[in-house]
Amino acid sequence: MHPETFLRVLGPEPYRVAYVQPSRRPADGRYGENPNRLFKHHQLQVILKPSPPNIQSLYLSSLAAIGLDLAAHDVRFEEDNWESPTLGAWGVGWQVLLDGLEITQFTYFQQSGGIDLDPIPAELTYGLDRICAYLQGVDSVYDVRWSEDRSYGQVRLLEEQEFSAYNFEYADPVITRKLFELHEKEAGQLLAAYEKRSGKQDRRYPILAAYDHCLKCSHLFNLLDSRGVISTTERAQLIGRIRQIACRVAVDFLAQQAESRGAAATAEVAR
Amino acid sequence: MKAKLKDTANFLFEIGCEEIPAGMLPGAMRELKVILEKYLSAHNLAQGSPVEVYGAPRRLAASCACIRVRQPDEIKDIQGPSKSVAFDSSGRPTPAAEGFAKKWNVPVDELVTVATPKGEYLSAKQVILGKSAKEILEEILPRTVAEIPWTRSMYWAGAEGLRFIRPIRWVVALLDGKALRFSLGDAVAGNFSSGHRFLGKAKIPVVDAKDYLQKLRANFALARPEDRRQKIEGELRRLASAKGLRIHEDEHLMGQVTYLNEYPTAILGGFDSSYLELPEEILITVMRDHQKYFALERKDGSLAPNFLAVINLDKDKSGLIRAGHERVLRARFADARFFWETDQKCRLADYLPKLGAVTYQEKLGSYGEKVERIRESARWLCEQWFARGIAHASVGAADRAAELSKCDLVTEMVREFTELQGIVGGLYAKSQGEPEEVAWAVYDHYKPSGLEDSIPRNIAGQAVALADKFDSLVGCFAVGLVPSGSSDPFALRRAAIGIVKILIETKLPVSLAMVISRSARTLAHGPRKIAVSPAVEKQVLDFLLDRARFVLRETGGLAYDEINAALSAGADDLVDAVRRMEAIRAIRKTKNFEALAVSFKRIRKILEKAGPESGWKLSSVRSDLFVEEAERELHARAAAAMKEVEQQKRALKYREALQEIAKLRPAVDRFFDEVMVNAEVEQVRKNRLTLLSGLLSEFSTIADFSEIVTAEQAK
Repeated sequence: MHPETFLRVLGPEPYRVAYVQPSRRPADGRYGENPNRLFKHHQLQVILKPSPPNIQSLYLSSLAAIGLDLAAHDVRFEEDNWESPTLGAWGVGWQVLLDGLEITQFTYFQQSGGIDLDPIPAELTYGLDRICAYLQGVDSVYDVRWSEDRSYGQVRLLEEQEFSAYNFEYADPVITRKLFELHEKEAGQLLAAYEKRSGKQDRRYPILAAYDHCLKCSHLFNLLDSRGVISTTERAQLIGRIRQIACRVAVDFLAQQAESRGAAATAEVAR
Repeated sequence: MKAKLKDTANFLFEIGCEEIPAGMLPGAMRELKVILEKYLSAHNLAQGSPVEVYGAPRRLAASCACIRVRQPDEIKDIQGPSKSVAFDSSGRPTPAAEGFAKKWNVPVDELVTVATPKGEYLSAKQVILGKSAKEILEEILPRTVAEIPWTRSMYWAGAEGLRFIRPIRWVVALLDGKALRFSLGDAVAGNFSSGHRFLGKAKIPVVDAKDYLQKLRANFALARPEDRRQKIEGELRRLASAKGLRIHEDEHLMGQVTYLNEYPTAILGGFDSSYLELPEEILITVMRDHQKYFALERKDGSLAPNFLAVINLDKDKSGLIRAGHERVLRARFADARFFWETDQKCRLADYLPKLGAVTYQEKLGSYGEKVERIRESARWLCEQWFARGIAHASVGAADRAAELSKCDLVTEMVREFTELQGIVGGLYAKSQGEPEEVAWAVYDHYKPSGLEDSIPRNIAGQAVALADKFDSLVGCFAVGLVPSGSSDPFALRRAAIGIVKILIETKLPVSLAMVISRSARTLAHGPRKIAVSPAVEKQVLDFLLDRARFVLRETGGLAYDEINAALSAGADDLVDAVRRMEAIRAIRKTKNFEALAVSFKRIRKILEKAGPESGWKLSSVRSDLFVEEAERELHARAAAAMKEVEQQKRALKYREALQEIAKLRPAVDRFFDEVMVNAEVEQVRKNRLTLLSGLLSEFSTIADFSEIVTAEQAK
């Protein structure tokens, strides 16, 4: 979960952002053999905080804007509540289906990093690879025309094949676990130092770096999972460990924000 | 001329919502009806006409053809000062009485006194004017909305805003066509509904329920689920029969598509017949679970390379939708084929070591450990059956099936389609050349999934299913995981029902107590040394019997007293208990039976009154202590009947045995007519009690007569 989503949804300030993000899910790898399921797919992520009352029609007009005739397609909102147990984040919403194909996850976020959100942001994640395939009328994302002379397959297929092999077969469980622990340790140290701070504020303190390591843990966990080397009990434990870091990041990020707001207000008064 | 004011009005209410989850709509409609009816009658607005409810993804609505426009006035007694304070010694009203009268605007001489438990008090009659329906509805409708229960509701307008299943975007609330004044969050009540998201108008003025349903229909939103279902069923049938095919019936799926669409339309699609190489179970599950498509069958029952999808539009005008759905299904099937092939790169048994890493329950260990326990019990069951002459009970087949039973839990296919557990294992076993009996046993061993489901088709599957379920029950009870209320995470109730169903339908002889203690021993001897106390074993047995009562009542056509009478006479072998229940049922209407049941109840009461047996029981009945002829006769007849009954019991002729017992009735009746049990002579009394207790215990081994509810009691 990108910090622009995970962290910016916290706190009271309105925020709007859209960005393209590669999304890696080791267990979804299919060695490039499935026409629309990929180890790494691309999402257009949109955060609207607070969510405007006409959000659904805004979303639908965005589909119309890229060329979809909504009356000629079966577009529907089917219940799908999104949850990231590792990051203490969840929301309520739908998967948006276009003629039976999931093209967007539409979520009203309720919690991030274990913190209740207020205002409530809406998150839209458009599945770009699939939407492109649809718009170009091709059966497989690999047949998407990437440029005049290249297909998406020519650009990405090898990567899908190699990483599917790595995720399912080659990733060394011992090393992966070690990496997990290193990132966990670094994040933990950073957060502990921040949490012990006394009086003196440092607006540049790298909470974001701690979050970066937290995300690495999350990915390494997914990797271990796709290698099929963790038991259900261990699974729950690992999720708990990552979640703990994520929740601390959220709390510390909010504290840092509040402190800099306070400092800004003081500076304003002094002027 | 002034028009007469109407007494009643019609009422319409619609909560306009972003898409409500299909699975929750039917429940929400029921709740809305219950809550509204509760409020309407609590506020005295109901006029006997029912609340109708409607629901579609974007709306939850209710109407009532006739409610009062105003509550009837109410006359209420207001209690004032006590009589002693209100009047002086000469009976004249005091200032207290005058003040009270003034306050409630009643002349002093119209005040009355009323008697209360605390003495006499003054009282004033007050007419409370009824409130208008408008006023009340404006207050109760927001409360009604807040009271609809949801499993997971949400905020959308911040922590101060409303909570509901999805954001509320518009509200219709009309009393005789006039809008009520209130809001639900940002949505202000009015008279505008909204049609189908793409095909209808966004703002539709409505006046009442009839107008509402008609205008919505014209705007491609069918608010009544039954209208949608009818449309879907008609179109599915038409499309299928045009292709010479029939629908693979699926009631659950039908329910889902009914509530997923505002204007459902069925379309036909196809897929490459090469996918038909995959097992039908998998193809059907992919279509149903992932895509909500109906599978189609040929006349011979085999799957056709077609499907029916239900879309939320009036038509597929350019064929794009069909093409899209076909493309998605291709990718889904490609995935299923990927799983099928990847999983079978090794044999099913090769997954066994991985089960050691999958926890069944923290204290009960992994599935690897569970499999070992299932194997042991399944083998033992088959050994028992074989020893009792059931020649086809194969220890080897049951053991192999038990060994393979859980392997599919770590396959990709079951990870993706958890509801195919067992089935996938069975399919892999079959395609890898395991004996048919073993493959089917693996396939079936989660069966039955409920009262309606069938049991495993062969004896190996029945052994594995029983062993698995007994292990779950005994293990979970041993570590304190006893189901309570709605919490039953290990589905122990279902396991118990499964055991009962398998035993009753197969008529396999099984001693419940023995299997339970066998499972307990396996747990205790396993690597975790899980101790199971006799109290826990008893608890499991009681739990099972409780489920047995339920199953027999629901499916066996037996009355609960027949069930109880047989079970309390002995419940270790359910098959035997059912035989006894049927015998009771068969003869309970005969002439002596009920009367005897009454007498047995009487005997039980007498014995209970007599106190603990140690206080009166003789080592045997002594004929020298008989005083009356009636006791001598009863003793003699009982002894003679006993021999007969024993013989018939051994031959499992329970009905004849019960008839024999029923013949004792005249002797029992005579005894009670002529004999006083509580004789003055101590020894005579003890002898009579001993006679009765012998009678009760000896003749209660088929049925405990005192459990029978007699016609007299039923009154």
